[in-house]
Amino acid sequence: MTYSIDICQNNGNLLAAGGDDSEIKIFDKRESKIVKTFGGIHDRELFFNDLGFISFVWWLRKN
Amino acid sequence: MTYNSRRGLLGAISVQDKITYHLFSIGYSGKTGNYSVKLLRKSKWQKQGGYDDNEEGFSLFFKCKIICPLHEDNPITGLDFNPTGEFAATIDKFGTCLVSDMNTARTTCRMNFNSISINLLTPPSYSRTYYLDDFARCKWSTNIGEPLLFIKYGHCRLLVSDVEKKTLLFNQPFRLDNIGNCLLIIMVSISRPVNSFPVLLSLILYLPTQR
Repeated sequence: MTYSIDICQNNGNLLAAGGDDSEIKIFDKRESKIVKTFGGIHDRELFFNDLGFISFVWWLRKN
Repeated sequence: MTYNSRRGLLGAISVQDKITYHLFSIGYSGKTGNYSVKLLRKSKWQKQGGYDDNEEGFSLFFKCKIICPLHEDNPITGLDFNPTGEFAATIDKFGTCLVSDMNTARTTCRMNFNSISINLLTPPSYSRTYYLDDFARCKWSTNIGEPLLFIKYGHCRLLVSDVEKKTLLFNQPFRLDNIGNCLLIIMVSISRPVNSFPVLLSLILYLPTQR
């Protein structure tokens, strides 16, 4: 399940998504696929472990 | 909540069945060195949700209402302003997405996605907190002049819509999540002896998801 999405402030083709699988995925609209996955953000050891999901992703603007 | 820095507009605080969002103007006064916040408009609640517009939607709503009382509500789960601050996009829990003109509040585009399906019954979410983020979100492309709206619905499905042409970029929604199936786990305490851990009976149900 994906909880949070955000669009890159510098490149509107890129979307970041995070959710239950503890990974942040970067989706590129031009290629229609996930171009990068960042894993190992949280450890997930047990069911119902609240640390095991990503509830919020947010791009920072690069000036 | 969303903010458009170009026009200094903040959209926030939806009140179900009454106000889609409150529109605030945020300005900075160089003389006083303070920010000022002014309420510009209470955007009138637009008829959301497909459940009272078509039979299929109503059936879905009815089933969900029986299964989980939380589905009686249909709040706004996503709100975003486009980069120029001309259009606002909202999406509700049932996946109805409305695009409206910020100046006139007139709805210019309406799209329906079935955001809720029977396989959303994942009790861990409800046992922890009632997350609105589970359902549907919408975000504008940050490329200026590109009228594209990214729509996440059905928990992990992604579509990109051109709101001017009223077309979708992909024929099929893209799955952001690799988890194709979910487990429904019910844990029941069957005994609780003094000074010992309770013995739990776990019942695991396998719920295949729609693809």
